[in-house]
Amino acid sequence: MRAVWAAGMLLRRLRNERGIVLLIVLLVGSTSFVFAAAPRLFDRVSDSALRSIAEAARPADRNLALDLNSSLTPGADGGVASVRAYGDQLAQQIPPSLAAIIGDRVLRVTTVRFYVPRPPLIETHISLRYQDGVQDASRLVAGRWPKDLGVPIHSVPPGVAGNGAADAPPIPLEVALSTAEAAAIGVKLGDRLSVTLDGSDPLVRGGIIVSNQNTVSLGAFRIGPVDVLIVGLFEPLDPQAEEWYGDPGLLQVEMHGSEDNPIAYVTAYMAPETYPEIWQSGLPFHYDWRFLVDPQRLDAGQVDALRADLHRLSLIAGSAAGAPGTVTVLTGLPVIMDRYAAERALSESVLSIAAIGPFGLAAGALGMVAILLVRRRRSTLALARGRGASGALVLGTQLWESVLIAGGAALVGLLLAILAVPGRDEPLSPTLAIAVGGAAVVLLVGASWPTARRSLGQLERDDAPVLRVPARRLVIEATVVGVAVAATLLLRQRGLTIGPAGTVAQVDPLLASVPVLSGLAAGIVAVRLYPLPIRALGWLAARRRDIVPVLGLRTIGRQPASANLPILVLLLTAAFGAFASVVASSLDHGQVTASYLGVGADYRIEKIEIVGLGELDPTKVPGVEAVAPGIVDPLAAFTGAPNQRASIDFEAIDPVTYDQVTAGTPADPRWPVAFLAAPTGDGLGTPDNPIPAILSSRLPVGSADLAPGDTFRTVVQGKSLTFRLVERRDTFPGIGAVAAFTVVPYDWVKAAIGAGLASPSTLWLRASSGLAAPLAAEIAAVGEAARVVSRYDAYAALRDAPFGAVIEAGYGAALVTAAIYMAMTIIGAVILSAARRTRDLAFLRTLGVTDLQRLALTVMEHAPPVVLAIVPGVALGIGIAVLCAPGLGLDTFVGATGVPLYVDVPALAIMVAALVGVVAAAVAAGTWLSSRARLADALRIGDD
Amino acid sequence: MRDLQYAPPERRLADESGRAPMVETHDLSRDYPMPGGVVRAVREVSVRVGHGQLVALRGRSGSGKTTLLSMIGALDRPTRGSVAVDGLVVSDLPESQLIAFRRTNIGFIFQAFGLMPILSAAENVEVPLRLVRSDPKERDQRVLELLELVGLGGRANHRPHELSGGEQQRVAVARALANRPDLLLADEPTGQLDSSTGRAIMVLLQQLIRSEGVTAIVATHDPMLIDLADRVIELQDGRVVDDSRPTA
Repeated sequence: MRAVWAAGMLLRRLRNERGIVLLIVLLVGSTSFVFAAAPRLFDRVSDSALRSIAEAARPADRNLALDLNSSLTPGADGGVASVRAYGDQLAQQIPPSLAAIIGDRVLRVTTVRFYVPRPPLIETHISLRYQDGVQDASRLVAGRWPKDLGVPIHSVPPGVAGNGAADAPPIPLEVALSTAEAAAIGVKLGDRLSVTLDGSDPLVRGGIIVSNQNTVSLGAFRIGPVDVLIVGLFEPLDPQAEEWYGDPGLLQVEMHGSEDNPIAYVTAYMAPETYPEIWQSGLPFHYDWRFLVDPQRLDAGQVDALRADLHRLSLIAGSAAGAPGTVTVLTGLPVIMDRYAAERALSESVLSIAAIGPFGLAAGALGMVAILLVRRRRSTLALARGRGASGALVLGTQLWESVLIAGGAALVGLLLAILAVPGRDEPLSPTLAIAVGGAAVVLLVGASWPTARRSLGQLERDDAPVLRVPARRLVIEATVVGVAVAATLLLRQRGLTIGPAGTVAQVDPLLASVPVLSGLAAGIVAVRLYPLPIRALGWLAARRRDIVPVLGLRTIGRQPASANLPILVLLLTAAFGAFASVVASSLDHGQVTASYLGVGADYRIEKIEIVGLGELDPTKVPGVEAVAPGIVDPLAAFTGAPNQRASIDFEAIDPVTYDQVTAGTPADPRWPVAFLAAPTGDGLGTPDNPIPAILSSRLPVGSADLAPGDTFRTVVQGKSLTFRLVERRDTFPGIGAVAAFTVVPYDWVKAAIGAGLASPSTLWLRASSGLAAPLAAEIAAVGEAARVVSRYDAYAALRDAPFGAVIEAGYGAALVTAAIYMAMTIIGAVILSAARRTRDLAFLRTLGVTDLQRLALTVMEHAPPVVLAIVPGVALGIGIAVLCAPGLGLDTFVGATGVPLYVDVPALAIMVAALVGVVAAAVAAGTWLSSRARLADALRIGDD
Repeated sequence: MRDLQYAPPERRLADESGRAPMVETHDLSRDYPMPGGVVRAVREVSVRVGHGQLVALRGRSGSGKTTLLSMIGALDRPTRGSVAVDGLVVSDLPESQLIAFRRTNIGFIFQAFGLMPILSAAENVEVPLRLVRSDPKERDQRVLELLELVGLGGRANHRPHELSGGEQQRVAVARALANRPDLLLADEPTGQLDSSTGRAIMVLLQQLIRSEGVTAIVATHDPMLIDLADRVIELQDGRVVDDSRPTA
């Protein structure tokens, strides 16, 4: 019965205060909704990010391959059906989490290596391969696809001399080659290459293999004479297509040897029906069952299970690695999963900062509403206390009421978030909703604390100006400042995440709350310090005759404690806004820089084959401002030490025009002086007159430790040139940090090998966005086979990458949310002070204060606190960004290392203007409310 | 801040003796349109108050005392009729001139004291002096003089919350007298005080009126205070129903 009575009382009270109660419900409900929805939204982004990372990975890394060296018996159906069936058996052992993401399968069967004793051009070794999907992924340029001729290869028994069948005609095996391979080894359609087993192949040398579950120890193989017939030439429709698995084996020749003695390793395509014919010889094969992962089936929620299964699989495979007949598991999925987990952890860390900012400001707004509620109830509570209600009873009542109102609102917010953002269950959502509800209850009860504890006599008086701060509060404030300083230093030292090396790091909540803690600490310091100069100014103003400066300064210098909350919130918002602005602009600026460094200019036109782009004139396309020509050979032969022959990324760039292309951009190369000199003297490119060159810090294996002044040789378009090292660099625009590279002046190279030979293979362009298609059209119009690489596209790809995009969007949303909470706090503060202000202004107007003086007084009362909050707030936000930058890990989202912080002054100015606008609107609303009172009503104040 | 000027001399009214009464109302009325109809707060009130008088306005709540004071003090405009203060028809003056008029000619004393809580007693008293841009030295001297006059010379730096109700009202009286006004208007000045403090305030007012030569109109319904007045005007439903000297 008492409970019913209490509930009835509560409902009646809430009905009388429905406006402010509705405000609390809306504030708590919307905050709960935002914080419960955010993790669910992040999960959806995470799925997208995981798929994006998987799609961007090399097929060999993304997919799963099971490899086996063996000699599997062909089935009765012939061809590779039995091999395929064996793969089916292996697939059944793949863990369910992995099996669930596999979309398609590809079978590859590769023979041992054969040697071509009489090569047409250079030493040649050839393997035959059947691979699913080759004919669909290729265009037959000449001839036809190979067929099985039905003649098996015979092995030569041990002890038989020679090849065992000297008089027998060679067994023909039909193959198709890619045009690139055919050109490289100097063969054409219809050629017939006699081959023998390649003794350098480990499988040919003999060993132990498993043949249909039976372990067989074999000696060295020998076979009868075999001819390889080239019956078809093909070109890939897309060399990057999934079908090729990132393996150029069937498309390009693998070159080894040295400059003087090159060796070509070729893989030719054979018909699947040829497999039994070769198997007859007893030769072992290399089998690959490739399981293609469908990125769209990846689910971020399954990552932990997937990582565990992959780890288990690698342990099983690893323990048996090298054992005869062992199936080897090849996949880069663990690395992809680890990279995803690391990026996700970092994104969570960076976003947690964005979330904690609005959370702190939401607490400020809620605290202000709670103070408003208690202020409205002050007389009622004083009456209740006067009639015998204890402070504990008052607080208890407030607790139950807060639990009902705030708890209910938080629950509704959570339910709405679940309905509005469908997705898998995310335990963080209810946790955050409960945290919001809990914080609201604490604030609502906490706001009642002074009223419940204060003596009755004090309760009946208005808030007195507070000039002395209680020691207990000073200790708490000093603790907050100390924790903020310590957390900032820790964040700078350790970064945002914690956890032992090798594991996925977790967000440290203390470090993630550094910006808010620092803002709070700075706010506390500012609130404690700013009255000092204000009072000093007030003392000076007191010497004047007029009233506005002295009254305004005295008002803000002697405000009650509750008036400090808006200053604190404003400073916090300004600090958070500046921090968010710096992070967002640094991300964007870093992505722009990375795109320039990745492409080397606005556009790069690359000839697909390394031959000249002589006919192409990009300046015909409107919007192209400058063009720099050059020669790029990513696999140029480099000799940096005696008898060394290695590949290097060779770039000959015209320094003068490249300067025009990159002037004022992050791709500006800052050429060495030697590059800007015109080529002079005889014997250019010889040891007597070497060409100046920049060389990468990292050099190919076997290189001497070259220093400026040393020389090295590189083959450029078939001619060996000598270069003189003038500078070593870690990176160069358009090349990146990984590859070994050399950059040389194009005009010197042209002078050394002749203008006709050294026609450009690459053009760098300065041009506006949206020109990729017109440039491609221009390329097609002159009949060139070249591709356009756009910096704008590279930037868009970085900008739209899920985790990077969600960080930018998250910070933007957090800033807007923070501004809304700030506006609510300030409006609350204006409402809180409106009654006192209305009353004071009414009395002042009876004394003869004009409207102009009233306006000036309003400006005087509000402008200094706004300036004193925003200026240090913005400085603090930038300072925190600078201090925390090493720990934020922005490099991950930028696509480059060493991202410098970038302060976008116009963006900051807009943010500050927006904050000032919000404050001005809130103050204007409060002032308007105050001025609505009739002057004559001043006489009636106190009537009630 | 630009100083405000008021009252062209030609608008002043005068009697045969050449000196206008301090307050003269003529058929003064104030109506308030309300949802249920027009409320006639003051009806055709015509009174003349001479210089140096302490006049008590008596009547029950809602009788029109405060509304009449508001119109005399130029805080409100009449619906009909006119108000003249020291011969100046204030009901016709524009707002800009009324502000200057209020600064120098009228002192208000409120039931709720009307002190600014963030200012000390001295700072509250100096507000009217700053509004007329007094010389700082003269201003400080006048503030001290006034606080001495109301018996608060030793509490100049105390804030309102550090003063009792009676002391706060004394500060309000001092502030009302700061610019040496001709007319003091007080609305229930003892309404928030106990009876002895209230009487002490009224005695103080009476003494100040005598010493400063000020005219005062005090709205009150406290019968104990009526006997201090030189004249009592009783209002009922917005009309003057009695205008007499109090019986001794």
